Amino acid sequence: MTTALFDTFTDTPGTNLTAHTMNVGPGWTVYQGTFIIGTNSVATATNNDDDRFVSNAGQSDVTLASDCVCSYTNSGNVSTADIFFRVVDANNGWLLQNFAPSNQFFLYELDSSSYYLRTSASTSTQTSGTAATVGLILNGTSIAASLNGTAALSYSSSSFQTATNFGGRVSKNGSPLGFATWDNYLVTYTGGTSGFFARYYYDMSVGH
Amino acid sequence: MAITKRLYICKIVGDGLSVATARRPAISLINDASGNSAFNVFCEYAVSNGMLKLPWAIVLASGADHTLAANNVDVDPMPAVPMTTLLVAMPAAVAAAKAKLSARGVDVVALFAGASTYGDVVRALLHLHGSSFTETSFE
Repeated sequence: MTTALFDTFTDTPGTNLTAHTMNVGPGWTVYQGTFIIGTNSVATATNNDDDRFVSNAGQSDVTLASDCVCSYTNSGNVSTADIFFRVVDANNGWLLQNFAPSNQFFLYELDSSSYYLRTSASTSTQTSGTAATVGLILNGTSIAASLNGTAALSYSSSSFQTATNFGGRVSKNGSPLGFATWDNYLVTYTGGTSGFFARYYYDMSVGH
Repeated sequence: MAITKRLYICKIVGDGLSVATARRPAISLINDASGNSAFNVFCEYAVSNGMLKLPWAIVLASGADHTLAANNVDVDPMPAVPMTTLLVAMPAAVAAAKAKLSARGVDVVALFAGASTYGDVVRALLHLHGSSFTETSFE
């Protein structure tokens, strides 16, 4: 496996994401809002719905994982750390929303600035403010998502199948107590050169 | 209650301007007693350049209580029978389905032409969306 993108978001707290250097990858682009480095994680500073950031992995068939924190008091007051994937531009791509208040994944297609719900699925029980590892395996038209290593959702679509940008998106509603955060953002693919060093940094960051 | 799956034809609601108001089948807006979505959905409907091809979706919904979707004018349950069921064996269900599909603008004469099983009809409905799914995608 080769690492295309990897970020432990280790930097001076308060650093703007666009000024932050990734462990592996060309850097982050922010489509909307402001994202800053926290304590080895990245969070939205503006905490507005639809804040988004991406980086170009150069590959579309990838395996992705990130430790995501969702903050909520209930379904009406929630900030979720979503995975924005196979992104063409700010108006076209896919979105996996980990809606922790109801322990559900929602898969949306963003087509020409309009969101379309494609499928949803139940996940294991989650807790506000506690990180959960959201995973994606993308292979051709296949989209498979997991939570903490347990498969939860699958779908098939050729939409944006070759798009190579990956990142995060905030879904915010009401007044959640905290912010959504991402950590250990890792995108790998089969082939290329060794991802040993990225894996090493990842293992060190999570204490393996 | 056990989770069961059932096919529905649903009106597509929402303006698509945000995730909260995303275009979605009407059944996904039905909540359970806790205020969360009562159904997980697997939807098929065609989109091209941000426009819906048809105003309805074919949906496989998973939920513990399908009676929550009853009497909703935007949600039509499909017959809960195997895909291999012959249409001649379910005349009342076929008549009801034709009436509901016709009300959603589907040309039921064309839809049922040449169909002999329930699976034929589901496949024809998917074909209207240009779907690559087959009726077995929903089993």
